[in-house]
Amino acid sequence: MIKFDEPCNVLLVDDSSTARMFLKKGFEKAGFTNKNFIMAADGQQALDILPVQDISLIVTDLTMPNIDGHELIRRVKSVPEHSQIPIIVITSSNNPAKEEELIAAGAEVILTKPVESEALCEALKKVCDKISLKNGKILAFKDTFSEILNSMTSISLTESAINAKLDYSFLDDSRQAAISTLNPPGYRFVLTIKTILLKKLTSIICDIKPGELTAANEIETLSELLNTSAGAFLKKITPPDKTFDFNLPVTSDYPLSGEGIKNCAFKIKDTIYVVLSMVEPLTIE
Amino acid sequence: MIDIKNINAILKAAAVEAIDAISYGRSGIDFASPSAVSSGSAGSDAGVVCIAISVEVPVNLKFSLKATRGLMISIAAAALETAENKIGADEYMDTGAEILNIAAGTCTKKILTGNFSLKLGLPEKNKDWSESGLNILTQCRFARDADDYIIFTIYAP
Repeated sequence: MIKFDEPCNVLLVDDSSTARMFLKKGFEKAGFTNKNFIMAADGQQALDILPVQDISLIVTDLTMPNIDGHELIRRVKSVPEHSQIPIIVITSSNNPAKEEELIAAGAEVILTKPVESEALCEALKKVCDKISLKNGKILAFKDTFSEILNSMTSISLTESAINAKLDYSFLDDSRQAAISTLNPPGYRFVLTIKTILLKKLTSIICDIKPGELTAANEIETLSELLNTSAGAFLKKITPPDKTFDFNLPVTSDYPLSGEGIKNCAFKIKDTIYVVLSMVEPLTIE
Repeated sequence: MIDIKNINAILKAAAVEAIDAISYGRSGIDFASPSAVSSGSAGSDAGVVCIAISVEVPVNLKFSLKATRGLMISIAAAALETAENKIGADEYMDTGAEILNIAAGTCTKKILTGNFSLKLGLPEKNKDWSESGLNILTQCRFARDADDYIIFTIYAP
């Protein structure tokens, strides 16, 4: 995820090497000297780069040979692993209808050439604000979970990453529980914890020696942490005159990232040990 | 509707903005005194770079950039912040295409009145609309010195 003042990889896509250089200089002039700029000469090159580089932002020209900016947006947004990457479009044209199409396809901001560094700075700010708004609920859920975990175990997980790219291999030595809401309907909260950490947490919470733990103890701990966190989170975001109800927590193996899934990965020394995932209802009551 | 009365001034302003933006104001061109197009520009095309672009809607305007290679190399070197001897044909043609792209977009937005949508085509390198028999609507020329110049032309729809 891109943060305004933190280092990250920015993919600049333009068939003109001059334009790519101009954009890079524009970002640097605006003070973004800590970004790493990766260049692509068209949409196809950009699509080839995405799986092998951790890209936090795409800035693309609209009119390009082969795969143009519009098609690039469509393809990026159709791949769950990349769909969260924000895209800024640069164009020389003036076409409000086209701009609406681009926004609908998933572009965050449209800028007109020549793009001054101030405009790039503003656009980046806008992108960060939009992401922050979009991630508001998962951030609140993350904070709630951290508080609950700390109150139950005195353990603080301070390093976290929102919308981390995760695959099923994380589930191999982890346990996962999920809980969904009856009212308001449509929320699903998922907690996945590496077995090694879950054993430690279970030992603390259940006050059982590590050698005496059973799988049932671990599942009970997982469910309790999830249930308590999800309940506290919904209490925070639900108006006082509204009620909320859950289904029972269940063990599960849901994917941890992808379309419609927001996640927060907690790390200890660069290794992810806990992943919180959340699916929000399409219409929030 | 095309603002015919101001079209030349708008083209000049758009050209200056595009060159200045791309070269970071280091083109060496004296923009204060644009020169007559006839003064040593139309003759031999040896050593001259041509790039063309179409504005596809709402009117079919066509823009071209014609410049001496030496000037384009200087502008490309300024744009890419490198030495002139490191600039090849790909670099200076690419820089010219980007300048024309920006100038054509900026100019068209200002010469057309009312609500409209415009779409620029891809710049075509080594293409000269004058060879297509189109009529010139307006053009402007800027010189760096006696030898080096750049000309922007709009052809009538």
